[in-house]
Amino acid sequence: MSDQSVPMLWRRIKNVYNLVGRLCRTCGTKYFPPIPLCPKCRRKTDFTDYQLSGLGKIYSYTIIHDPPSGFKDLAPYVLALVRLDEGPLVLSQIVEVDNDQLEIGMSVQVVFRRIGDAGRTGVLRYAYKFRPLPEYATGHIIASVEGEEGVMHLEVPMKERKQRSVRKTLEAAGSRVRRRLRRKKKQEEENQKENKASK
Amino acid sequence: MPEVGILGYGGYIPKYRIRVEEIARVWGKDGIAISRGLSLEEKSVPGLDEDTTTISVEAARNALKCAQIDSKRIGAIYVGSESHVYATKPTGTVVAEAINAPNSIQCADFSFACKAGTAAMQVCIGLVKSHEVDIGLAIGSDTAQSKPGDALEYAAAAGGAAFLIGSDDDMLASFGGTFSYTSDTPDFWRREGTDFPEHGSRFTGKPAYFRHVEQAALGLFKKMNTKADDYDWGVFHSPNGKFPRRVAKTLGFNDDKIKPSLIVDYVGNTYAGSSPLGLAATLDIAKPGHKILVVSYGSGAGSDAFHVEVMKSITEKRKRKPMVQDYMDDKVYIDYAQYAKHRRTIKVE
Ligand SMILES: [Zn+2]
Repeated sequence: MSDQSVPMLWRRIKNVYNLVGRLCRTCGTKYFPPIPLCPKCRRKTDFTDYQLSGLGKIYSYTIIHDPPSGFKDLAPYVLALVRLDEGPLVLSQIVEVDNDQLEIGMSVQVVFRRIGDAGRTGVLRYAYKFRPLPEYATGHIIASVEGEEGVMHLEVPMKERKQRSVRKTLEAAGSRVRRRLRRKKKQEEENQKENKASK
Repeated sequence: MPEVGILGYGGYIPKYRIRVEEIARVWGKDGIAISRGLSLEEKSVPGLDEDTTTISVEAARNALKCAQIDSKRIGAIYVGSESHVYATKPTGTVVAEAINAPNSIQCADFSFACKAGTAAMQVCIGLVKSHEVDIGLAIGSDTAQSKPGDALEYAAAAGGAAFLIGSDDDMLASFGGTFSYTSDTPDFWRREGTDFPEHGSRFTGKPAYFRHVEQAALGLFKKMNTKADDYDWGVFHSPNGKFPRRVAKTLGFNDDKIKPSLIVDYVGNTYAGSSPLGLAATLDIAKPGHKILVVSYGSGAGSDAFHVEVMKSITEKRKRKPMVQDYMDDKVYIDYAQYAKHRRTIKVE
């Protein structure tokens, strides 16, 4: 990543800052990193941006002792494949983990960190990394509801995550927001009516 | 209904800690005496890939979880710090992108030593009150720098807190008023292009910290027609554990009233993050109806005082994000050699 040009970095900012992937509306598959075409649907691909929850489990990992230049000061560090709750497999560094605590299947949560070493003069790169899911985690931001209201920042509560499938949690969160927005809109309309009446 | 208040807030403290005694050991000093003198046990240290920007983003994301508002409503992002990662490119630009804020925002970085965060809060309060923006995001965060072996090294820590300031009915706390006190007092400074700050040693106490904090608090009391007894909690900028305790006593706040905000004992001085994190820690335990006095201090020098009243929605809202105490408890100790690597005083080619 440290070899990337500044324009290349700039184009990827939205995806790597916020784990924004792609959802194929034809078949329902989610992709990260974003790809141009759904391999299952080909010409029938119907892509939309999709905000991933940032929660997942370690699928496999390795410890890097002899890193490439630009990553020297981080060594030794853990590089892992993380299976996101929504399905995609993501390559990422795992931070704040003891090597003897590390195991396949470990729950992890996304964090926002600096990538590589830009020296004293280079442009700084930021992106997602993962860390062991702390006990106090309240959930993670999802932004599944889009529309004229914009993107709602919502979290998947941890207890719901344990009890139900992520899909159900997302649906529940979505309907919660829609309910709230409906209520808000109704109230605004009533306020307007009142204002008109008082005039 | 109050005009302006806090819709959501969130803190963030990096996981690593170094004990004051460990720093003292390296420089051949009496660690126990220093620890007692500063009333400081240990301090937070940022991870190798953490900086003011990443701390600001984590704090801002916690604030968004707390408020559960549409980030497209944010109209201003101001980040206060004395360790911004660029000299010219604002930290706020990265924060904005990382929280899905719109491009149509006002954005700038603030610097006023340790009070840059509260300066950002004051500006957001003004913008919301004047209906210039719907919601303003104010952040105070730092990865404080200190010369190896300098007295500042025992306290200079990392952390930050973010506040979403707006006028929604379900605000979790309101701002009653603010008062600032500023003067030209050269107690601490860092020149452009240098890595570490300089300070006026013993000059940092009476004419600097105590004078400004006291004058800002007394000015606010007068403006709000309040007195120390009217406040349930006090939050004072904490360069060490000693100064906030002493100034609280002078102003008439007993130890219990400042206890929740005194995270300095185990986190250190988070500079621009200090009073914002103190306020966040106090909001984590305050009850609806409580009044909080917040006074920051920035060398150079100035203090901002705030009158904060806790509202009903706080009990529900604050559960949506990690508490400051959660970050305080989640820690890993490192030794001085690891610390030197974390602070990049050892260079790797
Ligand atoms: Zn498809």
